[in-house]
Amino acid sequence: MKKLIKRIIKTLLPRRIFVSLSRSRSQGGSDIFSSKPFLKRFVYSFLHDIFIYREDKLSEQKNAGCQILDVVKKIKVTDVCKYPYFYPYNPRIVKILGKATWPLVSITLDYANVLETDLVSLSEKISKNDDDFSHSVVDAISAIDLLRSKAIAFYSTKKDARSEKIVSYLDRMMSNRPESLDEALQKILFVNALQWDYGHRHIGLGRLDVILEPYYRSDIETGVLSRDGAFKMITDFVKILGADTFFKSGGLIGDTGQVILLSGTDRNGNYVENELTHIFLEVITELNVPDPKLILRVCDKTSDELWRKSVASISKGNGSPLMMNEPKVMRLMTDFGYEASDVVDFGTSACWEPLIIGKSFDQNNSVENINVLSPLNKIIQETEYSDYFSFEKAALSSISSEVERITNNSKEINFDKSPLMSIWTDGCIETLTDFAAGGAKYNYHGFLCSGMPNTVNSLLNIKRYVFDEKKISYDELKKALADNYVGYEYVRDLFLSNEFKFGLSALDVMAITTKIMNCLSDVVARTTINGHKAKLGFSSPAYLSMGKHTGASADGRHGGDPFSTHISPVSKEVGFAEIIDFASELDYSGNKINGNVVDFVLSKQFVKNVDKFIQILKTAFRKGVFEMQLNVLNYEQLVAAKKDPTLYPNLVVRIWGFSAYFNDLPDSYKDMLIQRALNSNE
Amino acid sequence: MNSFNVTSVQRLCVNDGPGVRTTVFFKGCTLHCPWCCNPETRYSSPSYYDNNRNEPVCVRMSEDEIFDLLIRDKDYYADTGGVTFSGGEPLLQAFKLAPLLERLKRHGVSICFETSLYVPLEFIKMVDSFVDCYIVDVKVIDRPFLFKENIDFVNSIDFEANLTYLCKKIYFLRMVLIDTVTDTKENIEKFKKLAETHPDLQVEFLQYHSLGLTKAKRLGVEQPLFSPTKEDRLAEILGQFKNARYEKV
Repeated sequence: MKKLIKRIIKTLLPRRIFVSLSRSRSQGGSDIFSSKPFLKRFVYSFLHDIFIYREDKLSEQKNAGCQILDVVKKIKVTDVCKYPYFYPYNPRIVKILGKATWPLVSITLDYANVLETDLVSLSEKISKNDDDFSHSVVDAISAIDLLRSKAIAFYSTKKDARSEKIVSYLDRMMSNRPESLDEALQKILFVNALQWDYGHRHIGLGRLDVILEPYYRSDIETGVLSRDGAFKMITDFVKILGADTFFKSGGLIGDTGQVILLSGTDRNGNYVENELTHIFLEVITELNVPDPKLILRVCDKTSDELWRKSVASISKGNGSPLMMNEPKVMRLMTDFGYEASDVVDFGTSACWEPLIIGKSFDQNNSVENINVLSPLNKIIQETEYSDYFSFEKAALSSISSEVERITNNSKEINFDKSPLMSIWTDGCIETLTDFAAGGAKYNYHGFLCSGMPNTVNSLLNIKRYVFDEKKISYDELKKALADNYVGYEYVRDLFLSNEFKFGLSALDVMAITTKIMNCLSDVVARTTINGHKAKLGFSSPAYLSMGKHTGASADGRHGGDPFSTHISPVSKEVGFAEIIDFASELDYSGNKINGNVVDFVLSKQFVKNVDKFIQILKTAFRKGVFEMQLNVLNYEQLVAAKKDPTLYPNLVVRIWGFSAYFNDLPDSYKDMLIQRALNSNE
Repeated sequence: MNSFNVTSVQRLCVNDGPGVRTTVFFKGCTLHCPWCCNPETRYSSPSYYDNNRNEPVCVRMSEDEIFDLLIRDKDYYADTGGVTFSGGEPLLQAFKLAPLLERLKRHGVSICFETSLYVPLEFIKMVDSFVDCYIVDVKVIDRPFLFKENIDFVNSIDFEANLTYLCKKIYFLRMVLIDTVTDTKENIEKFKKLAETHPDLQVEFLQYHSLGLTKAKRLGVEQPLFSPTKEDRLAEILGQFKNARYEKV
């Protein structure tokens, strides 16, 4: 399929066309070429005006800013106008990069900067320079101006009040700070859409409650807006962002990276929880849509009311908000190397990997995910060991080698350019360096790994049953795994019966988990990506795809079955309390900060007792959980929905770091969620 | 130091009393309710699950071990939660429990007992000074399901006297509603009379569930399958108990 698509593209290239298409190699090797959203997007483009860009056909005059101009010239406002806001996202635009160039994904602009930057002054100032970057920024600003002008021309022909308002907002857009919440939302949507048009993917939205608060407060104080009015505006805003989820999605529908962060500490050290914090949460709960999604920065000051509203949203099965332990994340980011004064602006690189909004070009989807289990399986088959100590040493060595292979392949990555991101990212204009070429202050890209719980349980079983108690021989172990436990069901039963499992704070379990984490961390600490140190996280979207390609493992897992999800139990015996204790005790210091999500499935019954549930969540974060996302699933409902999708058309569930409509998921994901719901014991 | 046969310790319980609780399930019971959701707790002496793994149904735990397990969850208890002792019949352990309860109270932990009250009043008095609240499981008023060997012992219990003694600390009276067993006209009327003699007590009805059957199967014992009360009968019953709540599994 990939070759066919490439052949089609090559055929079309001689014409003057611009296609923007993104690729991600992060999701366990699954290539976005074969994903449904991409294929539909590509075919959709093919039937309309296709815009194709090939890097190697670029003439010297064509800088990245010119590309944006090309895109904008082809955008027909009639195709993209939405009400009540102008949102010029055109899903027909598909960008193709050269094989050696990686798209910019999982990025978040500081929309406060977007709202306040005077683009006209910036353009005048930077046009005095004579370098590629400056030309590119000037062209990008021209592109923004051109699109704005086209929109003004279109809306001016309409005679309704709303169109007149949009015209006035667009008229002021280039140089002026918005004068109202409505105008601020329009400006954010305009720039956001252009990022998608230009081929960026997984575009986060940042701390919108903090950013928009001055505009909201001003409107309320002057009496031009009521809370209800703001609720309606935010509802429209959210609906527009979520309207094109299908086309914006990565490997799975819903995986757009459109994350809004709520609450937390601001740059003055004050705790923020304002009306907009509540309004965003209320809107998402009421709409119960999978996109955009929310992340709540929690701390001791998070109010009971905010907790209640978050639980209300989670109870709907939305999985949103994901919760981040603000003080812990900030402290660990500072220890890693981010400046203490910057960490207050932490957001996420798409789903859960912390970065600094407005200052980070931290990428996480440009490197191969680490399959922790596979190297263990490999050494089991290769050599026999006489004692556990030698075996464990070999296992860790094998895991290290695998990580080294991946890190060695990731030392130099050629990223696409982005004058758009450069305009509003600190440091780029000052140093005349593109956002993706070192202009951003932070370039700490990251690795993600999958399969750690399965690996820990495998080692625990091998230690106990093969070496300590000698209940099975090493030969039986090898054969059981090689034969996918066929004829060796007794071995599998034995492995599954071990009461010591990942997620329990028992000494052996913690010791093995710590050794594996440190093993991975040590290798990553020795590498750089584009000359910068890298981060490591123990949550990954690749649990299903990696599991598919990994044989049976000594934790009792059959070959092809999914890996455990993030930091979550692999068995019913490890409950919510146990995994909280365990996750709180893990050491996330150094580079181990790139997303560490406790992922748990709860029953509706459990979360019904809201105040008690809030007490549990508060305590979990006080104990030291890094991040948490919760799926409230009903087994019977999921089974019924799989059998007859018409029964629950709006059923939303949580996948790796985002929410999605259950009916949109492939069967493999549906089955996995059904199994997790069946196993949930809370 | 005392030790106990514990079938399980469940953490983050939200239905076993006020707040978030950790519940300890002791082995041994004076009654023999055929719908019991914890059939492994019926007999005091250890027994095994009916599998090839000699898996015991309980663990012998010392007072220190139980205390350590309970105190680690203190952060979850906060101001409203604490520890609940259940089973089986936790008050059968009364003569051994006082030191543990006293220790928990010294650490500011609230204590609740889930009990049928089918124990001598003396047992209650041994622990009552440490207990903050009770959840009373009311069975079939006139015909509690008896453990055959204990028939005289149970017949000697003055249930109403126990209830009256404890009434100020009762968190709620709970009855599992089972079709044609506990939801009969006669039984509900008797329960109503009992509740009326203690009008301040909260009444809770629980929907019957068959989760005990899986455990009974693992134990290799027979357990009948009952049915929850029918909708119209449920509505009738709830109509008679104006302030009662109904909890479904």
